Amino acid sequence: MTPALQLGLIALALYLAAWGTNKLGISSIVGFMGIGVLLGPGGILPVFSGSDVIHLLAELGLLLLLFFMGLEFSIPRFLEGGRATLWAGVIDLANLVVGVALGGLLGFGWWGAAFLGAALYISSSGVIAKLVTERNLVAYPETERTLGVLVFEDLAMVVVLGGLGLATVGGDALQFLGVGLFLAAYVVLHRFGRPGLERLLSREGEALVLLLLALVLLVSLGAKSLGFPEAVAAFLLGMIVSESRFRRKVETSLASWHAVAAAVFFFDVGLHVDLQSAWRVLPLALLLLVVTTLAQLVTGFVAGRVSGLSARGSVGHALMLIPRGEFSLVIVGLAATAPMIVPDVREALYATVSWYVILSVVLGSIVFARYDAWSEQMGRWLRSPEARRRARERERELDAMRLD
Amino acid sequence: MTDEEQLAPTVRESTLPGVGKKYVMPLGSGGNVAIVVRPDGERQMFHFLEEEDRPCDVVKLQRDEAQQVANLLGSPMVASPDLDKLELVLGALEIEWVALPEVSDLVGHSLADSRLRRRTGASVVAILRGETAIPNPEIDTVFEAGDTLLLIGSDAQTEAARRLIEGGEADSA
Repeated sequence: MTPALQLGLIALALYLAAWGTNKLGISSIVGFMGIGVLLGPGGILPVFSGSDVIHLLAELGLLLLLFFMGLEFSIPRFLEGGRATLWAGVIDLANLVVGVALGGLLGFGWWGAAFLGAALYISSSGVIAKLVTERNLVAYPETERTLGVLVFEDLAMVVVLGGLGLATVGGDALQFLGVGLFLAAYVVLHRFGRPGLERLLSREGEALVLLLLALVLLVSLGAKSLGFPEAVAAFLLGMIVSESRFRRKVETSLASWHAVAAAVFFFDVGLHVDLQSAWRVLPLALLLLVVTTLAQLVTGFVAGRVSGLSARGSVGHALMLIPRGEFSLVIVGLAATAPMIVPDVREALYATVSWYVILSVVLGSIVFARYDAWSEQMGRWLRSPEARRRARERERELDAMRLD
Repeated sequence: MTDEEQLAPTVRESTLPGVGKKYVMPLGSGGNVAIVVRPDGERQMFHFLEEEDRPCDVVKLQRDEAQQVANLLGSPMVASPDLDKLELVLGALEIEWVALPEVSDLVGHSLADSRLRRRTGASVVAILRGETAIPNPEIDTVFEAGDTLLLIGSDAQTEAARRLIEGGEADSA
């Protein structure tokens, strides 16, 4: 198969997946991953095996996706959320503890547990933002809180990933120097590079698109050659651009690239899944999903109540945070190259977390499809006696009005 | 109008990372309206009832539809001066129905022969004949007794035309 033919077939497969899931009323992300699983090397109809085209698309997809996340989920956005979001984010950190504890119990070792904890902690901003939009939940008060917590998680993850990235370098002093060099360059760019960046971003049309593509790819790959995780570098670049006054223009001019990048990324996740070996890791992935979902529901509800949401809104906040995605996969990808983790654990981490992400996205899209009914029902069970009394009064008032 | 009424209602603006911008406006009638603007220009409009944190209805609008809705919502405020102006313009214009008496000099003559337009300035835009109507009559249309003419022109022009049609010679204008 020629590369161009492959590209055409991938585009067709993704289009059909989006069309089919749209007809079925489920999230297109499930469709992209599902078609990847089916048509991948380990799938039922192995049309696509690992090739340069797929490799290129997957890398491009990941970098663009994280660049956009940096653009959207940045420090100014976090500060906008205020104290309520900060508290919700701090309570949400309990999920990191649960994740690390799970890793310890499963015998993954210290480093393995740290990577697993981080992968299980972080909800997927990409998936959740998409589901919230698809399901028309954007105006709910808990959506604002959820997206605020996602910004918190993503920023926490940049710190954690930076730390884990440094750790994976191991004892090599030269690589250590490289990572330090990249971080120093970033700080200098952030501090002094603004006027130059503003001038670059004032371009229009295709000039801007091409410039951004070049920036994203070259900066991330430059970071990679210095030993810094490329995905985190793309995220950090997005954060710098988000402070530009041309942020809106950057967003709109790359909007379709963003959508395609996300589709390709999730398609690639599906490609890496081997259906034949699924039975070995699936039980563990399911167990992780059950435990972390329960922990997420409890912490999400508490965080919602503490930050001033209603009982229903707090349940909704917890439900919204279920899907895991891109960052979890970046983390296990990083773990796969970490020398201090035993190879067996590395492999188990990668396979288990891949399935875990797929299951959580499927669960998430089921939850989002029944969001109103479930948040309403569970909110009813969990509301305070005060709210219960008020609801009864309101009911009585309505009855009285009907009699008139 | 009191000072209070002149103040625009407050709108709370917030950013939804990865989704767009949200604008919430409390309504005087209770509850509030939230509008979310996505980067691709799509707007979603939500209606929250009083004491509810779940919207009771949502309207999705594409960019052009949102523009149209904005026009419609804004029209009573924006378009009313234009309507007033339109009435002013129409005020100088007279539209008049005149029945053609059997004794009229015009009966049996064509529209061209009558030189109605030349003599009075008014135009015949339609003729009603029994059950039928003749819009924009041709210049060779012959008037018949019992016709009703629809005239358009200024006040003076239609008045002159009426006198001409109803009998008395009245060249003017």
